[in-house]
Amino acid sequence: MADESSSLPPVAAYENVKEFMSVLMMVSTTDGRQFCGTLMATDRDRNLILSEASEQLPVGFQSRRGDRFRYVGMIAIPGKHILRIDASKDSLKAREMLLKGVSRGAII
Amino acid sequence: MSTTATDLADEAASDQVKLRPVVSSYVDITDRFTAEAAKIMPGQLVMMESFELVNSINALEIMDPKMDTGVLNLRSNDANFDVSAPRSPQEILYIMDELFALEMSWCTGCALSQTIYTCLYIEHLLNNFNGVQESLHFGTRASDPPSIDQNDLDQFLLHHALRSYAIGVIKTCDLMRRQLQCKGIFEEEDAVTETYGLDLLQFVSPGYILAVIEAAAFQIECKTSSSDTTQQVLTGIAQRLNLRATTLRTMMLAEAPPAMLQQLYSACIQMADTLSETHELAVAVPTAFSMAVQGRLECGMPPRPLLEMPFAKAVELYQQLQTGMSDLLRIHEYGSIGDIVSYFEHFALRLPDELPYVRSQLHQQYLKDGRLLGKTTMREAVISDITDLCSPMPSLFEIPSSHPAYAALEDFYVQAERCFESYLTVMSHNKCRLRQRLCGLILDWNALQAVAETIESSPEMVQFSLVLQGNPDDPSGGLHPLPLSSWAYYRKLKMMVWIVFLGFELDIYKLDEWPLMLWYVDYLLGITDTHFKRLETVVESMTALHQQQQQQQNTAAKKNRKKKQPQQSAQKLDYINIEAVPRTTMLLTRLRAETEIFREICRGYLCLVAVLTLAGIVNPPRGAQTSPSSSALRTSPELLYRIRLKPFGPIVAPEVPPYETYLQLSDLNNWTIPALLDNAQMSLNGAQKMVSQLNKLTRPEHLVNAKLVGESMTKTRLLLLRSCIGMNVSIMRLRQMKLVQSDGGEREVKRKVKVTIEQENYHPFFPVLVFAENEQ
Repeated sequence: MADESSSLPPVAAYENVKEFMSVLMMVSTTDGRQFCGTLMATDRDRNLILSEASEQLPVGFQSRRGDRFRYVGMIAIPGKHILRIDASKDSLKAREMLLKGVSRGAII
Repeated sequence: MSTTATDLADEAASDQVKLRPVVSSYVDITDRFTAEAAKIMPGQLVMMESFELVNSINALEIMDPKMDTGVLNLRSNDANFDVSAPRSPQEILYIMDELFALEMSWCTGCALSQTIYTCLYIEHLLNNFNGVQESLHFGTRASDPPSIDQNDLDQFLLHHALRSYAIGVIKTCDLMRRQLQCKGIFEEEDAVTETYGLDLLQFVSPGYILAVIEAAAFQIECKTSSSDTTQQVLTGIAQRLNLRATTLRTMMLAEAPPAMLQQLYSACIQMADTLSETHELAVAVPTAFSMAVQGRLECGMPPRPLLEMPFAKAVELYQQLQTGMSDLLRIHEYGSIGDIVSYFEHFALRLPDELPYVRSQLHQQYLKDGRLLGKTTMREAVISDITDLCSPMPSLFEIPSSHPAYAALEDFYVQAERCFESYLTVMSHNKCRLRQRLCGLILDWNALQAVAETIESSPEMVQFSLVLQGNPDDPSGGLHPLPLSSWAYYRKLKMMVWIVFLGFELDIYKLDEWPLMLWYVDYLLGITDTHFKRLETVVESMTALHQQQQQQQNTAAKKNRKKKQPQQSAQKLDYINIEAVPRTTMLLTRLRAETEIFREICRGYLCLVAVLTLAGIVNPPRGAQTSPSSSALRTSPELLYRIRLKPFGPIVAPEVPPYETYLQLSDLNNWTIPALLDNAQMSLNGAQKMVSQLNKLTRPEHLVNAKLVGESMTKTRLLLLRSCIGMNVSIMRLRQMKLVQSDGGEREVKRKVKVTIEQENYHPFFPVLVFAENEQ
């Protein structure tokens, strides 16, 4: 068994990143905008796919739109443009509980 | 990962970017996430359980100017545009005309985000609008309307004229948009009704807006200017406001008496003519229109270009729209239900296609709740259509509920109503959809015909399916009237013919597929003609039977009078609806003549295309014999035959002939090019003569069910003549070329002939082939 598992790709290595999946995130980009959406997918370069995302303009930017969030739908944010990632605490907790439940075989 | 110049620029920028503070309900996970993500294998994607990569196809890539509308907004100077800044009359005129052109762009199927939303004045009004009509102004805050100096012309024009005009445009779009959301109109294809989360003044009364526009127009008309140019511009602005008011009024009074609406539409068309006189005086304000608006809309779409059309084109389209609307009113002048049905059919085939709004109105106003003109039920329409075609016994439609066939007949009528309503509904579709939906509808009508045949052959219906005398040679044992199935068959055949011809009109068939499709449509037209002949014979026999019985009854009545016996009540003469017979006869004569014309032209085309095949100009689809590889099977002529005739595959009658039959009948072995050219010319000349004869039938009784489409029919026939003449010219050209028969495609044709298909100014069903010689 031990030999078999060592020949498999190191699945467990990125297992932890799964705890962020379906978590509501606020991603700040290098142009100062913030995108709020649910994380759907990511890769090694931190390229993110957010669904049901909305956009907020940079602080102090004068726009005819004002300060409101704007719905943009599904977006892909290249990792190189990401400055900061914030996650909703409630959403993180819910995801954690879901993952624990699944690992115990519970039906949620 | 290599670091690019952009990355460096981003890093440099990132130091200066001022980020919002973390909200208490969020936690910064940047470092944790980066560390965990770094453990992912290169090229591997970690996804949510329910997510598939294909779902991300529509994802917009942030920071990519081709995908991210937000970048447009960040880079634009729109924020510096002051909507409350005074504008000269010439500039106001420009903004109004641009808005008009953008509005017409939207009417032809463009998105609001690419048209009227790109106007910063419209954007400001919609952003200010908080549900209260008073908030519709160019002030900074919705609750704070700007104070206006009434004596300042520039301020007055901006805050009254332009504001009311812009509100009028928004309301017109709102009213149109609601009408466009109907069964006959396809989102994204015909019209884009998406508002991107903005309220197009849905609950603001159009009456209020009309009053605002009219007040502004009146005030401007009262203003005078010492400068001639300014005075002209002021007149132009007043004209535009009046046009807007009239347009809005036509939409508000959609239910008004037709005569009144007709006047309004005529006024709109006339007023639009005057716009171009002052358009040249406009002074451009390009900054008032910006594509970057898309970056401020609730829109999950990549940036799309601003779509404007030349002003003259916009005026033309506007007039086309109003003419279309005005033409619809003619439906009220119908004489019979058949007139309305014919109108629907001609409307569907009109060239150029009617605008989506006009099409939506045909469906919304004249096929309201499944009733023609909101009053004639589909049952009445079906009965009228059957009566016009076959004049069956009137009792067929008044069967008492105690009759054993009552339930079956009732089922048939319900199904027929549904089929007929769908048939009329597709007439308001765009041409591509029309063809697609017809392919589906013929299956429904096929089923309807089967139901009708079952009913009409059942013993319960024996009183309606008497064997008509005079046809002893008929192998089926005589001629039966079969009005219900005959009607369903006629309608189905008509749709099948349309499907093929629309294929030519929409340029679906390649030139090498023309022989097949022309052959097939000729086959369908032949069957249609036979069907009409049969219907004529039935009507003649039934009329003779009716007259015979009437004579017998008259003789019996005379005898009774002589013998002074009490007169017995006359037996009901119920073989045929004798009053409807003259209409049926005239209708069948016209339908037969039209079918014959189409058939003759088809034969002419068929011969001409055969010449092209013989001369090696058009190569028939190559079969497996020439290239036996597996890929060649995909292009085998038999497969092509099956694919092209696939929509007709499930139809029981007329069934698609086997491929072998087609091969046999389309064999050109015994033909020569000159003979084929002679035949083509003969057929086309014959068709031309028939069209001319048909055009002479102009008396009202000749135009059964054509009261509303007389003019359209004349135009169509003129186009048919043009097609015939065009093809005759092509035949002459081919004769001059002295083509020689190709020896099966092995040898290159020395002379290369270039073939082009021309559709403009010809009948849409019969595009003309034009030949040009390329010397090599």
